Amino acid sequence: MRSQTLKFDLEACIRGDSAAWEAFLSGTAGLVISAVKRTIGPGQIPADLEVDDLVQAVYLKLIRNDFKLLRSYDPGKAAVSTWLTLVTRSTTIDALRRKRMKFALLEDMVVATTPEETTPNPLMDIPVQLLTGRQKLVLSLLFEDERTVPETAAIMGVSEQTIRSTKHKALERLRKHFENQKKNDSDSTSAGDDRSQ
Amino acid sequence: MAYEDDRLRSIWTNRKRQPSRRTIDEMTLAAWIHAGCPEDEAMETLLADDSQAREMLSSIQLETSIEQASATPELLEMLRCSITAHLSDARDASVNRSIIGSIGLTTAAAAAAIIVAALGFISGQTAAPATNEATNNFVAAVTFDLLETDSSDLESIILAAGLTFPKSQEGEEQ
Repeated sequence: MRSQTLKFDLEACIRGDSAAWEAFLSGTAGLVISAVKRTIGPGQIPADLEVDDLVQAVYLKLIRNDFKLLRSYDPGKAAVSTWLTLVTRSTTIDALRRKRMKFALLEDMVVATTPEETTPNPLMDIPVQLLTGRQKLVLSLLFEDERTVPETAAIMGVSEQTIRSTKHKALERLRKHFENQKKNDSDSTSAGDDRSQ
Repeated sequence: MAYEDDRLRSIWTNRKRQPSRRTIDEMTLAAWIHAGCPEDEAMETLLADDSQAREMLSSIQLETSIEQASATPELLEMLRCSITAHLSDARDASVNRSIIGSIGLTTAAAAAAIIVAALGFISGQTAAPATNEATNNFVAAVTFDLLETDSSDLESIILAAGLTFPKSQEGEEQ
């Protein structure tokens, strides 16, 4: 995303200056609306949730608790458009999640469904230090979010080749770890068998 | 059973996650993106375990341009009203806080004044005998201890000063 050079007197906004708020609102409302719509996606909005309400929720979040969120913005570290887009997305995701949870709870109350008997996959324990942070992030983007290699490269701001090589190294480490684990397990089992004989 | 890529993928997706109390706030994420997503062990580990933060990161990085929607005058008016209302509420709350604070200060000042007065009274009472003694000493020094001597000496002084007559003379006159 190309950051826009939006500049506002946020200090004046925190002081409650109405002219500063007017400039901030007229300069950012369009950006917030777009971010809300993109986060919701086409046709995904629950019936009782309006885009305008979500936009309002974003601005109220900024000023709540004595402008806590607005005060946290550091113009030296990020563009206001990037920061505000992130704030809008997180507010919208939270609002949608709350609505869906409420909806799901209501559905549970109305329809008594028989829970399907599924055998949960045993969760595998991966040592924290086995992979680097970058390797973990690449695997999560590729495997959990099902992003393509070009998308992952764009998200992390590196080349596709870097992503392929990072993925390869991460998988090699995982493979080695589990093969060693398996070997140790089988060694200890056969040792146990020998002892029992 | 070999650890093929697909199996490793499944293991990664179903891995045990480390319980983390830390979440990524918008400013930290924005600053990391602004810096060009540099290698940062803690940040990348948190992102790997936080699908919402990854979604936010992806949305920012994959959007090629910001197409701004236009805000309707009604929406802008609604935002203005709600922000103004919130700001005036916050101002009222701050005024209330200062009023309550000033009442508290006045009460504290009054209590302090009463305590100081009470202490002054008590110490004054304690100091009173000493003051009386000092006064007596002063009188004694000024009158060369005459007032402390026998009444006959005193009478002679009074006689000498001609302030009164001796008792015998008083009787004769009568």
